[in-house]
Amino acid sequence: MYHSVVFALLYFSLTSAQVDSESTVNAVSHVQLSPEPKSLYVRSCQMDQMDPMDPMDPMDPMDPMDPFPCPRPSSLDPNGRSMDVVDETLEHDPRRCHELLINFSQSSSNLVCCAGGAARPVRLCEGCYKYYRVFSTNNTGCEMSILQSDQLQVVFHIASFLQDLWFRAKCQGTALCLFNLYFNPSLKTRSVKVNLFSHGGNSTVCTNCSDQYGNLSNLYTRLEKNLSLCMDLQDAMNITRREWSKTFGCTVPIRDTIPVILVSLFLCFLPAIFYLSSFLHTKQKTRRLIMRESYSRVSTCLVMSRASNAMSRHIVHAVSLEACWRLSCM
Amino acid sequence: MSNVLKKISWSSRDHNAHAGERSPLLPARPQGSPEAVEDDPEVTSQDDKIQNVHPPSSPKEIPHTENLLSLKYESLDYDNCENQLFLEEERKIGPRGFRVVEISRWFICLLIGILTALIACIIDIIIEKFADLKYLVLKDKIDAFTLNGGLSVSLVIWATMNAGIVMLGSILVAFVEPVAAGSGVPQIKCYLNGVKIPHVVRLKTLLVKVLGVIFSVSGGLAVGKEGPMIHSGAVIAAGVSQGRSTTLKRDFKIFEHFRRDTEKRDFVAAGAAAGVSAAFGAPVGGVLFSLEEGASFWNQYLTWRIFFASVISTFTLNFVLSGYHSQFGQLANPGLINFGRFEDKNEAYTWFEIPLFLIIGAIGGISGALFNSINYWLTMFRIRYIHRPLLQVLEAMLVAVVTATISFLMIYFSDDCQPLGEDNVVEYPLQLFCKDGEYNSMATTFFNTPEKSVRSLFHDPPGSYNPTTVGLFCLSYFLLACWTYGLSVSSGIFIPSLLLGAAWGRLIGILLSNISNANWADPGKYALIGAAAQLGGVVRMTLSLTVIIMEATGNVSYGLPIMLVLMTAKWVGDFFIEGLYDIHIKLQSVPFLDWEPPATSHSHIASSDVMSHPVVCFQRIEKVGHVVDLLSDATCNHNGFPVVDEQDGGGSDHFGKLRGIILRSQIIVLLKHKAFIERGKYGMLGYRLTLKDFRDAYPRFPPIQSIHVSQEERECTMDLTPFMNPAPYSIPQDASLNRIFRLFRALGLRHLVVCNSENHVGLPACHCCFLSLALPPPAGLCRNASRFPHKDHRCCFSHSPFWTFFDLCSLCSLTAYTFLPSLIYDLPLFSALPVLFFQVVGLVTRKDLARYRWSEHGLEELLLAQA
Repeated sequence: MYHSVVFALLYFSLTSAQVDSESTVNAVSHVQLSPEPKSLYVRSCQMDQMDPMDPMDPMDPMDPMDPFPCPRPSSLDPNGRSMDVVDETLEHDPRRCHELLINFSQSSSNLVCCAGGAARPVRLCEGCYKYYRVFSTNNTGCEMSILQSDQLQVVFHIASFLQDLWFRAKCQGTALCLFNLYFNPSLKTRSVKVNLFSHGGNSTVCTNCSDQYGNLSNLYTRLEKNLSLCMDLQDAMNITRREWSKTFGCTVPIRDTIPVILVSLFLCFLPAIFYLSSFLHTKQKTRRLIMRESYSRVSTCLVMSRASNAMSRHIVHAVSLEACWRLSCM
Repeated sequence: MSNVLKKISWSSRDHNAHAGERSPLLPARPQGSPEAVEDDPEVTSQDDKIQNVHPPSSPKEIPHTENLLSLKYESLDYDNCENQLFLEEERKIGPRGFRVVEISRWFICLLIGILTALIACIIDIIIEKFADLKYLVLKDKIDAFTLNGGLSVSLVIWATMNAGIVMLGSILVAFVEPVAAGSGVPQIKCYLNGVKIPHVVRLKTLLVKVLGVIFSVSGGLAVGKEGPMIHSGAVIAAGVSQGRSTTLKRDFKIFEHFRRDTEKRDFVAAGAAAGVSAAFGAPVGGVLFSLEEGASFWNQYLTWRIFFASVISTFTLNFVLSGYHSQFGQLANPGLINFGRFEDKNEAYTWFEIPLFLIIGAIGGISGALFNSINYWLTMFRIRYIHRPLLQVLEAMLVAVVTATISFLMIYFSDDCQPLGEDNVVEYPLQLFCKDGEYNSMATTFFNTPEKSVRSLFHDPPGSYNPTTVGLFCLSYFLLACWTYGLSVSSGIFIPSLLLGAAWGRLIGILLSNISNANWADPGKYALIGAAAQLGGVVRMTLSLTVIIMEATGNVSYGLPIMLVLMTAKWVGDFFIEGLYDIHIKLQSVPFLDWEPPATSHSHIASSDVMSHPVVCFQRIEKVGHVVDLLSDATCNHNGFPVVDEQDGGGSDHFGKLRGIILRSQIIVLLKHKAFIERGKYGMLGYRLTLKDFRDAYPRFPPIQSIHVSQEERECTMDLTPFMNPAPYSIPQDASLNRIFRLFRALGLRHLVVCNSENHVGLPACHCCFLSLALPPPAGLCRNASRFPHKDHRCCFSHSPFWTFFDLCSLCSLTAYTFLPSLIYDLPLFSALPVLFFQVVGLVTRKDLARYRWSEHGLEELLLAQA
């Protein structure tokens, strides 16, 4: 029973302890790769042999075999379309603009095709880089005729969709991804696909691979903190983690419910004790009263009420009686 | 012999005035029998010197209740004292000088805005760094203990960390500056209302507040940093506008014109507005906050200046924080708390949701009332039993420990795991018992600073939270927040309320979307409405809160639901109990005047009921010995003394004809400079006293005990005429409480002289009285009219039996209107001498007025207590 798990795509053959600082790509340069170079080397865990059908030749990253073969751009085939459909409004050189259009549609459909194949598990950046490069080659000259002559703007929308997809997958720019590493001459990087063979049941996998998994996980966490990682890496790591903890059930957190409950009960009892003791042992704070002797009190004692209606007379009466009482108390 | 009564009522002086006390310089009248009262061991050394002065027989002591007024609070002198010195100075400065003064007002507002924002930035950045460190360390620990066992140890570590951090903040507050406790909004509200809370706008308070809030927020308490921001802004304003620091004893010799209560209060209003604006990114809300809380006396021109300070504040904060977040110049952080943008289509509301919002508002009102009443009982208990600083620190630490414990338990027993994805970025994802690649969603709310939890409740996509999780969180957080407010730590109530409301609002949203299965019930929207309802139910602010939330959300279309919700919450909440701030103001025994006078105060309470009767008056030429004796007499804790003409044997009813009023602080300055007539005669008084001498002593006038007066000097006399306010507001003794109340509210009065109407009134005065009432004289006609702008008010209220006489002669006076004013206003007598010749019978102060408060039993008289 084979679990074909893409175990780790990160495979830093970390001779990069000697990475020349002058040649490091700035995106990668601040990753602290040096401290434990050897331990990060994820050996093929159970089986050392590589899959013979592994399409990626790790030692030749510049020219990986196409993992997601799509119809090759069969150069430009002008015969694919009859030449008389060429839009006459194409400026400058109608023929060239039409060529560009064909070229564009071909390259974009290649990219779409490749992206579709690389959707699960995500291998977009890695697998479709070539197509993207073709697709994004700058072809200028026909903006007026192709992009701005109608409202539908097919070309524009296709292009922006693909660009957006590419950006959202973080295949571009400073995000750390495999092809970034490929093109970085200073980092010798390889990617491996490890077939995890769980012949002896889950327990064997867990015990045998826990070190590697731990290292990988640590490395990933550190990289994640400092860099943005491309979607390929994230997805690979997610799958790996899911396999690890769900399929194999290797992450077994140790609950210790009883001590936790005891400790928290103790901690929650402290305030109760505190309040009770302060209630019992602290002398209650009292205020000294200063009654104001007032002109009105004297006068209202004598003159009962100056209010006219019965309702308010009642209230004044009460107030003044109280005042009289207070005075007599003093 | 000395008295602490005086010392405490003389609020601007603190405990280091002992030297003067131990060696009393002045003999005071022996009164009563000494009563050693040891209710508070911390202050026994002072207390046992207290003589219970009043009723010698019954030293009445009662437990602290809310129906008390403390003697330690003084009123602000918002009313300008137009004595001769003032008029002289005004003449000297001239119109050009006043233009400079006006410009410097704007400049000060600019400074206030900038400095407030900088303080906000410092607080924000330090808390972020601190919290980052703490949560990362904790996360590491918890992760390690999850793998290797012994999670209870991590609980202990968490609790200890929280307790330690909170201890620092609490020690600062309890031992160094107790007034920095809480959010500071009640205190600022009092200040804007015209009550001077001791120490509230000091530099030390600011430092303690800033450090305290950093410690309490990063200590994991259920507090926010927004309320303290308002207080900090106010302190900055009060400090900057004075151009000096009394604490640091540095005088920059600038802005001397603003060293008086009127100007200072206006700047404090600007500072509070700048604080709100920095806290919430709500400049208009800030202005409205100052307006709502301090609108009793308000200059329209002030609004514009305050708005300027607010906008500057939010802009500066934005600018600095953009630099900090390394997006220099991208102005995306207008306030400390950012509710994020509500722009999604689902987050717009539809008409049929408005009844739902009203129900949510009612729930907010009830929940807020519950919150307030629990907090009320707790605060009462704290005032009575936990008044020693050590106990206060201990209590704060215990709360921190329990907060950590409850958070831990909630996280521990929650089974709500969410996948760690790209779209919901969790800052400190805690895995605990979840599978790898997942995180505990309870931990996002507890394992974070409250601001970020609020934002995640608003904006996390539907389905991020399990209803049980949110419900449990609500319950526990309600109790925690309620318990925390009122501790002796700097803590705001805005964020806990918002978080609480957001949690139950989200719960309602989740339930609604489960029931209706429609996509209009976006949980984030309901979280916002719930947050508004809860906050409204707790603090009961109306207009300003609506605008603050609207501005923090950045969505004007939410104005209607938020307003409705706040309105409902306030009405429902007011049905049960007052707002939290008002409760705390009451519990601190502050003589606070509400918006409206008691409802039935027209008919049956006259000013003679309100006033304090035996008035201590001075003659215009008074013997120094007499003055000193009176001031250092314990029974006389007044701060304003009517100056009268000779006492014509009126007996106990009245005390002579009113000539003016003089403040205790002014007399103190006079005594300090020994401005005695005899000294002037012999040329010993080298210079005449000017307004500057009074300003230099402001705001911490020394107590009378520290002024040494020799035996010969006691025989000297002093002339109070040039220093007294010759035109004090006065009112006949028949005027109603309602009228007095409105005068106090509208003019920011400190004293109001009550006169009887037996004496005849000088004719010039009554003409003026009538004319200015009937038709204000045109400015061209009366050149000096602008010099006494308050005259109409005073005259308005000095109605007497002669009023009818005025009415009769009004017709003929109207014809004489065109030429009379010039005649009247140019009378030299009029500007120099008091115009009222009523006889003084009493004096109304803010405390007298605050004793009448509206309660459900009708008019209730409050008792006056010493703190």
